Amino acid sequence: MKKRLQFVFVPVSMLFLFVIGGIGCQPKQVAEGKKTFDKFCSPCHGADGAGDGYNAKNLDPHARDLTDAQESYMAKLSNPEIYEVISKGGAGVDLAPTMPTFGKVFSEEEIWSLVAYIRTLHSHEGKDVKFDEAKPYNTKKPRVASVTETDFVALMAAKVADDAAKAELITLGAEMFDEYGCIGCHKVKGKGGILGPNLSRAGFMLQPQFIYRWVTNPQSFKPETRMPNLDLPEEDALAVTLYLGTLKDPEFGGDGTGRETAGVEKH
Amino acid sequence: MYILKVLIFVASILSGFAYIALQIPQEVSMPPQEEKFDAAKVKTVDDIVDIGQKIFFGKGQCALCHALGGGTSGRCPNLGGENPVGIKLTREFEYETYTNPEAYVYIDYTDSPPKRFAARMPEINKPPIGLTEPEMLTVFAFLQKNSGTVEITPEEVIALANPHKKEAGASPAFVAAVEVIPMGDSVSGKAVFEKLECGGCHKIGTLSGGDKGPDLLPALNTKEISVVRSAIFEKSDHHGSYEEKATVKEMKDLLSYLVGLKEVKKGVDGA
Amino acid sequence: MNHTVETTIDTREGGFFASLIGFMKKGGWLILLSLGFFLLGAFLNDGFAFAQEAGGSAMAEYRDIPYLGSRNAIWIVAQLHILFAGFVLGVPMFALTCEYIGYKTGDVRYDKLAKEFTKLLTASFGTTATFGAILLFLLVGMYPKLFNYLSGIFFPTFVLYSFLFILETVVLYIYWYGWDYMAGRKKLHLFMGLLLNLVGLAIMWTADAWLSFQASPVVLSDSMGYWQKLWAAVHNPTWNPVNIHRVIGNVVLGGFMCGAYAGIRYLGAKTKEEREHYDWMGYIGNFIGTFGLLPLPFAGYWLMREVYEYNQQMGITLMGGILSWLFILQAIQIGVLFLGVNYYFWQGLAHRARVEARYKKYILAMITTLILCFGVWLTPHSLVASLSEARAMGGTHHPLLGVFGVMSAKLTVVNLMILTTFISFILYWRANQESTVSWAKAARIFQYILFTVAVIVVIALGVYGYYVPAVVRVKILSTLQVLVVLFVLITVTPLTALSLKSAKITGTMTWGVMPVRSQYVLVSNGIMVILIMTLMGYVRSASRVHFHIYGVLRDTSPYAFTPPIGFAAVLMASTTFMFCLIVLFIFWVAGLSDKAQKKLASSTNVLEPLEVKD
Repeated sequence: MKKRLQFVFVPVSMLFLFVIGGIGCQPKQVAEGKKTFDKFCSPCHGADGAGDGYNAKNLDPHARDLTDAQESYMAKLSNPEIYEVISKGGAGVDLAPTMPTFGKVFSEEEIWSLVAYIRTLHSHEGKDVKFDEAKPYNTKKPRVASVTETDFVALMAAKVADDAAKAELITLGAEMFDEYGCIGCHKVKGKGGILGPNLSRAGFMLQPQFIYRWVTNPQSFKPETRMPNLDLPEEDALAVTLYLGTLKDPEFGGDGTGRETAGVEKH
Repeated sequence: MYILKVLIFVASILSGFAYIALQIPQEVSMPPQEEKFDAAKVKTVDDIVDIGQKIFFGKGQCALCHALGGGTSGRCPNLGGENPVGIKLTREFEYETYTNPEAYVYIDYTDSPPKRFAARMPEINKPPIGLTEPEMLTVFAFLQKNSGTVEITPEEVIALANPHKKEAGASPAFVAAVEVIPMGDSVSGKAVFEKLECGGCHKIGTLSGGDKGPDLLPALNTKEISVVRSAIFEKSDHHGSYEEKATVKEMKDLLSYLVGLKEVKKGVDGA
Repeated sequence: MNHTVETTIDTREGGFFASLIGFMKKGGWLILLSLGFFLLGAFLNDGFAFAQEAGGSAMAEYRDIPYLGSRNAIWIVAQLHILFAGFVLGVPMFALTCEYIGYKTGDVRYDKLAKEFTKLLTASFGTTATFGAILLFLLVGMYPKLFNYLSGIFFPTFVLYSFLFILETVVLYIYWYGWDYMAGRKKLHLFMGLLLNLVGLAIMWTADAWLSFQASPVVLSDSMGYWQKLWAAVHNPTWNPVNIHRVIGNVVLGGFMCGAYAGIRYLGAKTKEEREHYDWMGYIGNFIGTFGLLPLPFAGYWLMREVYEYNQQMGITLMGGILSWLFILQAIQIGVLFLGVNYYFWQGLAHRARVEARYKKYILAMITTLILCFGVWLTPHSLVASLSEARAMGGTHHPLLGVFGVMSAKLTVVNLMILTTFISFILYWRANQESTVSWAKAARIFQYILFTVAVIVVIALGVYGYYVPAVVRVKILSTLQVLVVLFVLITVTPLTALSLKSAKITGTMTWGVMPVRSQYVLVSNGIMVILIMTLMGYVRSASRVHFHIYGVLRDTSPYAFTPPIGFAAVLMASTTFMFCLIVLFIFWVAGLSDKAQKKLASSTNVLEPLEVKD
């Protein structure tokens, strides 16, 4: 009996140590990646990456299941491919635009850390993300120019010559709102996500110049915000701004209370 | 007689305690003076910001819940720092927030999942706070100063304090300039007039201009300035909106210029 | 059912009450009364120096009392009411516990002790109500504006309060007067005791709603219904913290006051039985007081945290602003109380259990710890320094001691003081008993390790607290410290109880041989607790600064200012002294009936026991 135990015990303990060693010896970047994931990604992708975050039910198409529980999708991607999805956003890689663009928000190192962490969520046979001490990734966050009120006014003067132009831009803005995936985080007229504020009254509440400046560079106001910088071209940003400026609903669409309560917990 | 001994013991403990307390420096805290809004004291923009600040930290009780930047929100939204309400929110919405806070219930989106703020905002224009409209406007001016530049003028505040002018205005207090001469620069205003090419459609009395729109002089003479302002800057059927085409300063300057063209009939209105 | 009357009063010449009467007869009452009023008058004048002009208005918003001042009058009456109320609510808790122990163990001493406690309670009840009524009249008459506002919100609670009061009176009378009658139906009597406690709690929680609303009001917007507003007002942020703090505080007050009573009776005892009885009663009183004292700082800390959560400015006024010196005074009082409590335990070890020699070095370690902790606790953050001193120090903070002036240090030392007191308590509990269970040694070693680890962890967390932001310290580290200490208390108590089951008695416990100084310590403990209550009550009221209802209803009376601390302290000391005098009077009156009966018994047939009904 004892001999048999030895045969079982030794390999099991070795495997155990190996696994512990494997997890314990992960570079600190994986821990950093987890922190970023918990804040920015888990609302849609879920705390464990299973695609079941609290915002997931508002997404169409649904948020990717990063654990590969149903199909082996993530395992088939390479590390640079995952990097690209995060950095360019869904729209940038011909996937759903509701996956935001993070390339202008995170530094290179941050995105690689994220990739390294995401790799731990599913089993894969590819290489792990390497963090070379000799050639570290860029840790500087991307610099985005601030936009001032005067810039906005000048832009308005240039692009919105008359009413017709304005109306055109507003229609374009409504389309942009879907195309850039804003609907994934924000609710308008009852439809959309709850990651960010409901925008059904944005036109009534917010000054137009603020909307434009926020959309083009949210981090200039709130460095820690979850709103990504979607890298909108000037005209698109203006279109979205004008569209939002028309939203002055006294009600938030549907529940008749006129209040932002649906889907939100009390403190 | 032991009862006496015990009483003396007790008395000495109590005296010792009182003695120690008397050794600490003695301070008295007097209640602060009550502020009454005095329109005569309002001369410059700094005046209204000062008044607004005093109200924010005093009578308005805003500081009980709201922080002005720095750190996290807590019970209610932070009004400065990362959330520069002064440059972010429209006046209409500010007014609604003060007078009907339940119309829009704030959610804290920094939480995952988002949660309502713990505190409920009372109606500021009702008791026990009971701020008057000029006072509310000064508070907003203070918030604007906290976030950037102040766009509220002393004249607007004074106008709100005068009951007459308010009746004339009829629009929500914060929105229009009400019956007030905006203190802008009429020379710059003329430049704005030209930049926006108003003369392309409008004549003003003897000043030449286009025919597509009416002569502006009768309107300037008879209508309230708030109506003129609305006509220019808000969308209406016959007129495109120029709100986003000019900065607030340019708006003020333009209105100053236009008002300067008004024909003042002596003895009827005005001085 | 006939039985001999249990007398607890010595009526021989020169006994306790005889000497009291003698003293009073010789004009002592006049001396005491004059002293009291002189003190009051001399210092209350201070209060008027800062009085302001009251605003004129159609309805009388305020009225005043000449010379005394309406605010001071209410202060004194409210304080006396609360002190009596605290006693009246605390005593039933351990009277019931004592009676239950007597019922379970069959030891009739406990039942008699419970009855003696309840006698004090019944005598005090009327006084509590009296001061309550006076307070109500003063509030209605002197502060009509405030009372009008409060009635508008809280009127249904006034109705509830009245009803509960009637209920309490009924239950108390049944509980007291039916004690012997229900001797055969103990369970029913115990149930009445339980009911008494529950009704008392409900009364306190109702009253707590009013005063906590004054300190931490909630927004009552017009969109809320009447009952919704009422519940929101009752259920304000400091309501429950005050409730819990007061429940535990009542136990402490009741325990130490009974201990003080026993101490005084011991001093006046003439027979050996009396001394033994009052020695034992003093022990029980001190024990109960300590039992409540250990978790009390945690309840107070929770209350303070709620105040900070509710409104930072109020929290800062209390702990960093004009009221912060009050907390230094509180530190002094609590330090003296902890020293007194521990000292009494050690005296018990020395004189009752006669084991002082064995524990001498532990006692030395404990006293050193306590004194050091006390020193740290009462170190203020900013010192009162003259200009030259400040220059020498380099600021208002002492370079070395200033480090101790912050919460991280203070929480650490209070936890250490609690652990030390707990050790004294455990040593006393185990004195002269040898555990006979098989795992005794293992349990001992476990406890040594547990205490050592707890002390190290508490100190480590305290030191770490200096290096983290305040929110981490307040939310995580302090909570951990509290939990560690609570864990020790909760683990060691049943462990000791179990290990002492059927323990071998290795020495005797001798009652009635405690030295006189230990009884004075009991009196001092009682006084300290009363003084702490007056101080904390003042702190709570002062936190409202110039508001009746903080941030909502402004105080526009001439007394809206915060008085100097010396003035407040003199008023608190005077109120405490007045309370002591009234309590002395009540206890004397309470003992009169027994005294009369004993006289009756001794004056008639000496041979046969007299059959007298209670």
